[in-house]
Amino acid sequence: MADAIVLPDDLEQAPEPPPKGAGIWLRDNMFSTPASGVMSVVSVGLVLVAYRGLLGFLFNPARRWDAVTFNMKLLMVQAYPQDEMWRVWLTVGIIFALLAASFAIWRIGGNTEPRIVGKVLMAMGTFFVLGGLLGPFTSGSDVPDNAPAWISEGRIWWLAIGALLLLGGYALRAFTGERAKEAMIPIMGLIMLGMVIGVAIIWLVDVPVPGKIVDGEVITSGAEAAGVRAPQVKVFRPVSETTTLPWTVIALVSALSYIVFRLLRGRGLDEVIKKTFTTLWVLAFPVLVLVLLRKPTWDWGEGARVYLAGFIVFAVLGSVLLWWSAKPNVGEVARVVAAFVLVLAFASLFIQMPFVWRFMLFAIGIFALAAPSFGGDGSKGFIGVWVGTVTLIAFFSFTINTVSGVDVPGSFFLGGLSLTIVLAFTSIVLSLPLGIILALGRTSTMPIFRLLSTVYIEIVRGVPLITWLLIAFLMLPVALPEGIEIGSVLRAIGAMTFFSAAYLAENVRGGLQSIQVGQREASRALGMSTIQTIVFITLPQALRAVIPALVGQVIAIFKDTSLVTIVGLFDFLHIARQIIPAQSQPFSFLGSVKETLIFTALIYWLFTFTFSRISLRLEKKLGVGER
Amino acid sequence: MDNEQSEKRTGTTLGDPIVITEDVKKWFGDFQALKGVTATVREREVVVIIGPSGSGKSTYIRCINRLEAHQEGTIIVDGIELTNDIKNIEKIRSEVGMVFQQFNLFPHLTVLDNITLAPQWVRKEPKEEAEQFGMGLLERVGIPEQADKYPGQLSGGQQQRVAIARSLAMKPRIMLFDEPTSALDPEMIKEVLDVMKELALDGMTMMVVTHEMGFAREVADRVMFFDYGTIVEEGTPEHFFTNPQHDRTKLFLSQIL
Repeated sequence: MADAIVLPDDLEQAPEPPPKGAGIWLRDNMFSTPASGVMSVVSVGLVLVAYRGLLGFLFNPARRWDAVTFNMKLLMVQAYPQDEMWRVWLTVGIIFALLAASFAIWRIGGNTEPRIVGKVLMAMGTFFVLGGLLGPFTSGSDVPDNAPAWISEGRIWWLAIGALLLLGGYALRAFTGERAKEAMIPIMGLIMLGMVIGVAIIWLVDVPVPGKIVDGEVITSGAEAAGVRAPQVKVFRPVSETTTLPWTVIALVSALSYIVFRLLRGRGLDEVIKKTFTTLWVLAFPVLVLVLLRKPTWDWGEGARVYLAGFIVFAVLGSVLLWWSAKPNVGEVARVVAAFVLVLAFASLFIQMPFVWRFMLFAIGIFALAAPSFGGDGSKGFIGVWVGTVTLIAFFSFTINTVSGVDVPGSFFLGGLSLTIVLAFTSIVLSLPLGIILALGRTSTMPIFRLLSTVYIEIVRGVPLITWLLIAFLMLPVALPEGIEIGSVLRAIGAMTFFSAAYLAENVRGGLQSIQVGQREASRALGMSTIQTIVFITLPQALRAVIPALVGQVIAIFKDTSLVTIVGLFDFLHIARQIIPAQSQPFSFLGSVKETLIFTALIYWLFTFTFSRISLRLEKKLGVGER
Repeated sequence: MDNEQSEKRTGTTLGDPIVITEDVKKWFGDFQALKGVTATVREREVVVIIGPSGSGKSTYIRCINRLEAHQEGTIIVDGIELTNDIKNIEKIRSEVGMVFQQFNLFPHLTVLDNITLAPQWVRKEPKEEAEQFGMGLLERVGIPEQADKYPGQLSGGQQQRVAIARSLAMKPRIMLFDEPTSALDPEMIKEVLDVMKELALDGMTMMVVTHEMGFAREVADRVMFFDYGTIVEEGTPEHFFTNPQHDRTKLFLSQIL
């Protein structure tokens, strides 16, 4: 009967949507009912009033933005010695180069339509034009004598830039149809354009810096101005001379790194490059912070005696043990041996020995326990992971246990934004595995494990983070045995890790419970053990399902790092709020807390906004919600 | 079982008993799902289990790889008695394949990874070997071109065929099918049944819970009719469909045929 049905061989075109004028758009979207009309008018009015207020605040001649620009280094790395600053720049450069290369390798970005770029440009243009119209720009006698032209003539500049953006945006928006589909704009190109504009700005645009007038001459450098009693003035200079060149080099290196790896793509090396860069990313943070920035003064004798010896013994004996445990015919005996090693590890707590050896004993016990599940053909890879782990343990405990060679006044070599990032990143990385273990514990069928996890989660979540920080600082030193000291930054990291692990555990538990029972049944029906089912089936799916909640927690930790100010650490907010407004030498910024707070808010927002964008991309890429 | 029955309809000969269940009882709370099921399945035999919903037929085959634990009676699979010993259970599960009504493919893995995961980590096969064998299985179920896709990108019938290939990848000696076509659109049922039929012709031992009477008539060596948690009647398809003895069976067949 099939040939009796005649199928139309060409499909009808969907009708073109009727063109929409501005009037129709306004009617449909803002004034469709009397109520929506009132709400539109009220909210537009509120936005305009708030915008005018903001501009008035930002461009008020009384604002001491030079408190931010002059103290930029203080805000970023606190008192990091000037002659070691290359370490900071190298760190930033490596991170940017890694980022750029990863963009190329993992094909992040892609293309976007001209229409969308046009929309963004037009939105920006609207804000500039509105600023030009609304801004309470200074004129006449309000203008300080030495202010550059763009403040007094600001209105014209704002209107001009706004009009330019609007025109460009309109041209791109009007560019539709068949030709536009071929003329996609690569996002990477836009990012590079942004970098070029950024570099141009730091070379060309003047920012306020403080200065003093001595014998009719303006002195802007802090060292020279110190001690000179003269009226303080504000002058305008390009962004601090010390940062212009490094940023330019970093921008060039990043662009180069992107281009190189873009060209290498699809030449049969993709897998190798991806693996290498994954490893590089894993190693980047600890190596950059602990080695490059911290500049440890290694004691090689101690290193050989304790760390190298421990590494060799545990790498060799551990590999033999794992190789034996993973053999298919060994079976249950291997787990008994692993349990015995764990008992030994606990016993080692009561015997004098370097801490790192105890740590390695615990690690090999856990690895041996898992070996029968992940051995077999994969046992070579598994032993590789063990040797890698023991290398990292040996190297990093050696590094942490040596004194930092960076000569700073405080107890820690970093402060400001860099301390905030270190606190946040370390706590996040450490709390994720702990949170996963707690979540598995709370959903486990083993009563002791479940009880311990539940008690931990409920106790930790029930007490504010500030309390935990204070406990870590005031009570922990009393509770620790004599001779063991934990640095203040480590204590803060510990408190934040244990705190956020409890929250992460609850998020992950939600993910675990969202997985259909059929998944577990299918895995068990294939003969996979409980631990294999967790590692290969339930956990990957659970983590995927809760990415938004996990990112929310990451953002929360990042912002909560500002609480460490209460225990006396010099984090980003502490410097902005307490240190700079109290400065009187070499230039006085007394009371200029509004400016620094606005600046910190902007930076915190930039970070958290980036996190949430990354999370959106991850969700899309991993296909959350499309099963 | 009589020797005369050992001549299979699908052409292969029956072997020794491989699944032996004796007086198996199972409760969910107060509800007794199985009220003493005694049956023996022999190697290369195809047994189709039918019955109304809630009759215990799914529970019965889920007991055979211990996705459900029975409380009384004995189940012996491939010479191993099912007890709480976890090692025995994992051993048996790697010998017994199972296909589910809802496919239960792993949505975060590609089709080929779905198939090769268990052979690699349970059977400890090298990756290349597992992939080669997996591709062979995909060819056997007719969808080698889908190997790199994710389950969500396939049709229901294709997903179920992948699920069958995934079970076969463990080189099982027995295959259990728990209503494999009940969640499929009508036009996809045939492609799955064809794969199952081919499997039966190759001499796989199969226990199939299904409502597909055509399949039972054509492929089964024996049909079991479950009701109220027990086997009400069993016999060859000819006997079963043409000359049922029990009133319950007659009523059930009159309702579905």
